Amino acid sequence: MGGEITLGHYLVLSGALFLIGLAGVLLRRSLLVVMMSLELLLNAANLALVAVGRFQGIPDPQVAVFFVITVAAAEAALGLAILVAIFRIKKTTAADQMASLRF
Amino acid sequence: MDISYLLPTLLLLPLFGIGLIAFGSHPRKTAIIVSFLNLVPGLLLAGLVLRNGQVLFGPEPIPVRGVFPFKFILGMDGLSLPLVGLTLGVTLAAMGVSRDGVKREREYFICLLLVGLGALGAFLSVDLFYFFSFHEVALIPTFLLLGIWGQGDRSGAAWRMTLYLMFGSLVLLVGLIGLVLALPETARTLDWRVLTEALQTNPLAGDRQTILAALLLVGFGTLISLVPFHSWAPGGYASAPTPAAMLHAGILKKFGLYGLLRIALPMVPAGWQQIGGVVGLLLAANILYCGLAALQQRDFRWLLGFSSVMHMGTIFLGLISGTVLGLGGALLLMVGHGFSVALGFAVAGEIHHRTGTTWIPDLGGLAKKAPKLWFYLMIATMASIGLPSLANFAGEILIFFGAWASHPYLVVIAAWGVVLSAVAMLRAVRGIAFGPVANAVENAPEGDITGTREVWPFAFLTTILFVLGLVPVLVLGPARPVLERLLSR
Amino acid sequence: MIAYSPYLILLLPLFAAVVIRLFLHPFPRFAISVSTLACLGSFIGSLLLLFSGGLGGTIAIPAIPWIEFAGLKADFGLLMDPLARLMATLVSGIALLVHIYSIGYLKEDPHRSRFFAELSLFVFSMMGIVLADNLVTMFLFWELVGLSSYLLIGFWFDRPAAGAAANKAFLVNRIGDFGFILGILGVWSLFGTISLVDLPSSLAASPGGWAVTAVGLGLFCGCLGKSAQFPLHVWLPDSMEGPTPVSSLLHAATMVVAGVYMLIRVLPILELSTVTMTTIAWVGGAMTLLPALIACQQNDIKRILAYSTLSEIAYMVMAVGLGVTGPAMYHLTMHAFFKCLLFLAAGSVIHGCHEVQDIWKMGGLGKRMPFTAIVTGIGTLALCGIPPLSGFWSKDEIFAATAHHPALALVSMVAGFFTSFFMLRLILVAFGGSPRSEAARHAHEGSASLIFPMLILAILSVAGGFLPVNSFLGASPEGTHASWTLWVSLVLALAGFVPAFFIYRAATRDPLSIPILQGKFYVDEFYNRVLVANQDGLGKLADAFEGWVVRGFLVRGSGVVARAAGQGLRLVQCGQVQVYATIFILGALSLLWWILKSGVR
Repeated sequence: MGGEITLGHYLVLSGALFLIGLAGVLLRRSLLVVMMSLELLLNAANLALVAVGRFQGIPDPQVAVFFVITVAAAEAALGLAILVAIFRIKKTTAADQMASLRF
Repeated sequence: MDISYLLPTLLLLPLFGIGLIAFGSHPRKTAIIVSFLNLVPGLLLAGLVLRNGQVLFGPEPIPVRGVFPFKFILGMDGLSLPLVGLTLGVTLAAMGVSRDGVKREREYFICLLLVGLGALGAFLSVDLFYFFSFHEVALIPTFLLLGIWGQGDRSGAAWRMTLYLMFGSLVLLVGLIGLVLALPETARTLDWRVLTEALQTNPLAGDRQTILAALLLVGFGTLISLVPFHSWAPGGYASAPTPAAMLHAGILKKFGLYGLLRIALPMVPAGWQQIGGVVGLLLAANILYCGLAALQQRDFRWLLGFSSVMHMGTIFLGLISGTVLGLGGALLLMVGHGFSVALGFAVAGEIHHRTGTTWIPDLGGLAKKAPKLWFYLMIATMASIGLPSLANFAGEILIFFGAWASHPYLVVIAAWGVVLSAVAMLRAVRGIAFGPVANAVENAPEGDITGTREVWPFAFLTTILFVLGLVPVLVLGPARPVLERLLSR
Repeated sequence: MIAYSPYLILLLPLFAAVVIRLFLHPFPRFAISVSTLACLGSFIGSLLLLFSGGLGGTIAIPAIPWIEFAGLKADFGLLMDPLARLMATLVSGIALLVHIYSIGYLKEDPHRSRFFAELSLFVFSMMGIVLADNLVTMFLFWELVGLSSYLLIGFWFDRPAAGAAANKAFLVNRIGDFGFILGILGVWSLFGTISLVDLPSSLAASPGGWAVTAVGLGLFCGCLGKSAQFPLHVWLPDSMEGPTPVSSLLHAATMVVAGVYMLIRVLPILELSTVTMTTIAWVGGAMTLLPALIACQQNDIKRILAYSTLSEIAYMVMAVGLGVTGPAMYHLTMHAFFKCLLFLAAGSVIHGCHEVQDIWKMGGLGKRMPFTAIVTGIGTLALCGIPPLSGFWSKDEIFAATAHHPALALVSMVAGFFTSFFMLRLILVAFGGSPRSEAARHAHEGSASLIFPMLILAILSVAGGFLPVNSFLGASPEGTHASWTLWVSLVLALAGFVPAFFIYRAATRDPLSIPILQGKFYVDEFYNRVLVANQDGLGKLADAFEGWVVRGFLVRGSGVVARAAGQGLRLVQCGQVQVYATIFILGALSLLWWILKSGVR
């Protein structure tokens, strides 16, 4: 085989990860999996940013990645806490059971 | 000595009062004391305006942010002086006729003070941003007063009133922004002194003026219940608690007229002339239509509401007369109407408090049972139907004289309106005061208003009506140079 | 300061009214004293002014500023020409007598403090009209007089009829004032002044034409209302619901003639248009006859006198229309004497019979109230113009002025015939025969305070013709007399007594019954059916429009539209997070697609 791993490879991988995450967010019923898919989405973006930073030789995207990681951690912590709270009340984590905001 | 800091004092005192009430002082007493104390800077400022022509506070621009430097400048000249006086006087009287023991007393009095504060701020602001915002500040407590402490169909009335007024304010805002944007970018300002001067030296193009004048007419017109944007007023006043009706009908409504006089007339004179025909039609409708509708009212407060709407037509006639005489009359009638309608609602409130109704067929014989209340009912009636020696008469006469040359037909209509309003009001007085004593009046637990404590707000308003009617120069004198400047193109 | 002292005759009654209102309500004795003394002061002041400054001269008095604004100048000034001084003396004098009379008349009334306060207010306003030096302040006092009339008619406010009459009086006057104020505006725009002093000299620039006629008619409208002339006469008979002293002072002697006084003041303007003058003369002429006819079939003693008042004022109006103000003013003065007397006598009768007003329930009062009967007789003779009583002299001058207008002469002289007829009817029915009710059987004369004013007025009614009134009017009627008017009018007036005597000599109920006269020509009914119903109908229409279309359809309609839109849109809210997210993604994708598509250059 041979051949370089180019920016294109990274971006394709990042796109694939993003699509997988998106599908998980939109289609899975379990909120736990939805949140894991959200992480996938964020990390897809991270991967693209790091790759672009690396290949362009600029540090700015990598700084952004640190922010994303921080926010993702906070989001995971908060989201899981909410999830636990909801589970305690509803005894389920299925997304389609949570429609108390409908008309 | 520079005592221009008295201007913000006018606003700070009620604010201070609101703070005191919030932190637990006796609400009604605090409100009365604060309103009374506010007369002191008011009178001092009046003296200053009489001497110097105007008072200004904060001439240094204090830019807040953004494209336009909002400047917190307060100013008072011969035009705003009568309205500030009106606000202070009616606020004091409204606090005077309010009662202890309403539900949520603290919030009630805070709302009342806020209405007065907003009106004062609007009349004093030189910057359009504050001019507009202060009025909005007054609208919110009005909504609450109606919705929480009102009577009858209070929530309907509150929503109707608020939506109408919000709609009016929105159109007005568009108009005001249009005015400012009409200037070249470098010359844009929110200071209406500068704006007026700029627009008077470099008038806008004709059709632009027309559009802006129309926007301002609809905006201010809704606020003063010009037909066909009037239907919030009678019902709103009928269900508002007495002090709120006094404050709104007496003071806040004058904001629209003040705005027309201050902003719309001098800034877009040509546009104003362009839509003069429509305005004439509308104000004729105001007088005739609301006058006729007033004839049919059986509830005294609805009647007062309609008759108050009707008088707006007469004031409007003074505004479009295009003469200093007519404008002066309009200003005088604005003030006179403010005091007289406040007195009217105060009397209606007392009647309602005592008998539980203002439905005229259920009343009767008040003159026998409560002669003092009857006396003030007569004063309010006579003021509102333009009886001489009360302020309204002088205003109406000046308007008639001022508008006669340019709008003779409208003057005829307005003069007929005086007849209509006399018919409506006197029928009501006959129903309420004359004849045998009705059950509702007979069984009223409290009889007449007695003692200084209850009588003073009425006496206060009456005295002012007489003073202004006999010495109208108090209003006209300082206003004259301002009005002349407004008309000089 | 001394220059302002003439204002006292104006301000004393006002002072009394205010003081009573503020402090003296609980103390009727003090209230009465203050009010009467103020009126006395006013009268003495007027008398002093009457004889100072020469008969023909005008006393200059500095004005008190009221409005001086942008070209309009209306000050509280006093115009002290001989006409005003005469009128002021008359008004305050009659008012003083009525004050004295009222002390006795209202002795028992618990509200007499208020009565005297209102009476003082009236005297103040009436003096204001008389002395006003410009049309705007005249209009101001004009309205105040209307207010005091309203208050006094409605004095007994627990009687429903009183409230109705008060309202009617005020509102009908308001309609007249509508014309009056427009007339004033017209004067201002045509001649550039509202000052009665400057007016005559500004008339040279008169444009003539219809505008002047319209202005004249507008001013006349004011007179129609205040002086109760056709078509605005309907309020005066109803106003008799007020206490009798009020009917006597306001609705006979002084207030109702204010219209005539005003016409005399603005005569130079009226004279610019022959149409105006002819209209005034003919309205006056017709109104001499019609009320006289109606009075023949009325049964309420005060209403009979009220209709007679209408007729007498019409003589004055007619005289003004003929351009002779001297006789008009002369008759005004004489009429004040004898009509006030007649009303006070009627009051005495009513007082004596305990509030009975129907003459058919009286009878035989001549024996029980001889003094009242005598003064009523004197008043009647004076009213009918029998020489040498006061009414003769003034009526004669008016008739003389009609010499060149035979139609007017005929109408007004026939009116004289009917006046004699109904007055004798009144006397015969009320004072002659035997009592027809319990009240009449126990009738009695009133106290001295009732007697004294009647005595004075009776003397004036007899001898009024010899007072030097004409010297204040600057008119010299001698020499203009055409003798035929004198004889014809006198014969007709005397002839009126004859049928009345034969019909009513011994009648116990009215042998005549003429429905159209009893129904007062159905003018009230006409107004109620046509005018009031019209305004009310329009009012109902406006109210219904307001209720259904504006509040119902437009306001609620826009509410309904907003709510319906909300109802529709909320279906989108299914509550499923993932559906929202899908919509969001689709939106983002389409946005992306749109940007990329247009972004490719």
